[in-house]
Amino acid sequence: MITFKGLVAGYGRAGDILRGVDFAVAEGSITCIVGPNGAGKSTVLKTCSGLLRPRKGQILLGSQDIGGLTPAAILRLGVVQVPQHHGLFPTLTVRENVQLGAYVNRRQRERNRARYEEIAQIFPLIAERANDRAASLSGGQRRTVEFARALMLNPGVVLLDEPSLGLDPKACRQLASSVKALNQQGVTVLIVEQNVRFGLSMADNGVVLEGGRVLHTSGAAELLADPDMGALFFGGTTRETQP
Amino acid sequence: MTELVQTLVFGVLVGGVYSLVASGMNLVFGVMKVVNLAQGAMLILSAYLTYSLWKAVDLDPLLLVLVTAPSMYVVGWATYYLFIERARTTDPAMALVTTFGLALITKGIMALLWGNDQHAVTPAYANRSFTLGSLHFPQAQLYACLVAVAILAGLYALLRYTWLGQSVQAAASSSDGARLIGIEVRKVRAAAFALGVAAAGAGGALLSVLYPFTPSSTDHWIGLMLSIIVLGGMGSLPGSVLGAVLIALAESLTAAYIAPDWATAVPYLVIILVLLARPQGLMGIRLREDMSRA
Repeated sequence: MITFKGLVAGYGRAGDILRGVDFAVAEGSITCIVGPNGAGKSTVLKTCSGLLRPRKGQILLGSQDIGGLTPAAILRLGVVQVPQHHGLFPTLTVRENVQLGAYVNRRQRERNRARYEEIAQIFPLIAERANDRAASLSGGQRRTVEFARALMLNPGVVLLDEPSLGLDPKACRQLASSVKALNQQGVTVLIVEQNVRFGLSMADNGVVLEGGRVLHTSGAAELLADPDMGALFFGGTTRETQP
Repeated sequence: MTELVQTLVFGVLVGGVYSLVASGMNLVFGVMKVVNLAQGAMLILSAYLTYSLWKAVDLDPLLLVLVTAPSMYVVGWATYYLFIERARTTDPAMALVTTFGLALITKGIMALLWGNDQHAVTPAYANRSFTLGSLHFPQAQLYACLVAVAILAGLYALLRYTWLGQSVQAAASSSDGARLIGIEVRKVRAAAFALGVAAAGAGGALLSVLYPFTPSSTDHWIGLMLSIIVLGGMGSLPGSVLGAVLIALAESLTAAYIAPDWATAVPYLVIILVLLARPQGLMGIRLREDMSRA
């Protein structure tokens, strides 16, 4: 279980992007954060993975507050983020990119070797393109490699930032089945997604973020059926936030 | 025919040393996109260190690489934390200006400590050659090239096959991407910058045996290094080697077949022609997106 309590965060000297975010991600669930541009969706993930230090509030992983820990410390606790852009290292091969997923446990050579073999079996692309540079992969293939790399640590929580970005419908379907397969193994998934229908269709629960605050939380199916969602994502704000 | 082969041999030997000299600068650029204009000054500083140590302990100057490279690693590490890190986070252009300033300061310090007179390190083998048939292999160039190749091979293996090397490449590609897999990017950048300066430290020891130097030699060497890495591909270590050998060959061939006075100019003409066809340099990497934009 991850619980965000009164989370406030922002960049540099600029104002707060998150202005008191409260919600919980149930263990073993898929939760999708949706909201308009600038709502703070990706910022939630960055504070959770340690890229950004919260200004106030807590991020509880079970009972441990992980807010403000380094990314390496958070990885060791089993929380892994797949970033929105530039997740792969183009000068390295596919194999090296995937193996770097175990960087924080780099001294456990045998374990890492065995885990890589397991992952190469799950994702045939990894075995097929193992020695090719990541620079030569298509957008969908890169997403697969990023996803595979995130699994090197056997994480308990995976954070996915805009996973459908730049993918064609077929690649999106493959991605959705990979996310569901991962979740069936007991991994908790927190997704930020601009493509609302795609994101919520994969998820159990939905969180609507607007202006750095949680506007609404409910089951994903309910959110998809909510007419207010259209108002929020195709212009304007919901009735609740109108003056 | 013999003259041509002899010219090529000489070009390759010099190219080996040029490769090492340029690789450090290319490593720093590759990792943090900072053109370290102080790299030439670091190179000549190392040449002066070699000179002073050689005078003091009378060891083979090429062996002094074992002292100058680690010493310059420490200098590079301190320089990164004291100056470069702050400058590059403020503005990338500030880092360029900072390294230019560091080059001027280092040049001034060298002039104060060693004067502006020409210095050279001249071990007993400086003017000897091995002969194979009708070909001559100058001993100093041969030994220096072998040492340079050994160091470059070690550097390549470090970058290619170790966790440190892969973390350096990861941090070079994407800072946030590297942090998200647990790489401490700040430490990796400091290590990469220090490694780059250490390569200049090793290169300085080698060039002190091959060429006379003054504090002003920094200008010639920084120009040469920039040319090599632009030709080979900015950020590519194998590109540095290729660029260095091609420039050294072009210099040798020009000096032998056109005129020694043209030896500096012709390689630059070659660079312009190559860059017209391959703007990313001979071994620079272009991503699929880059190609689709072209």
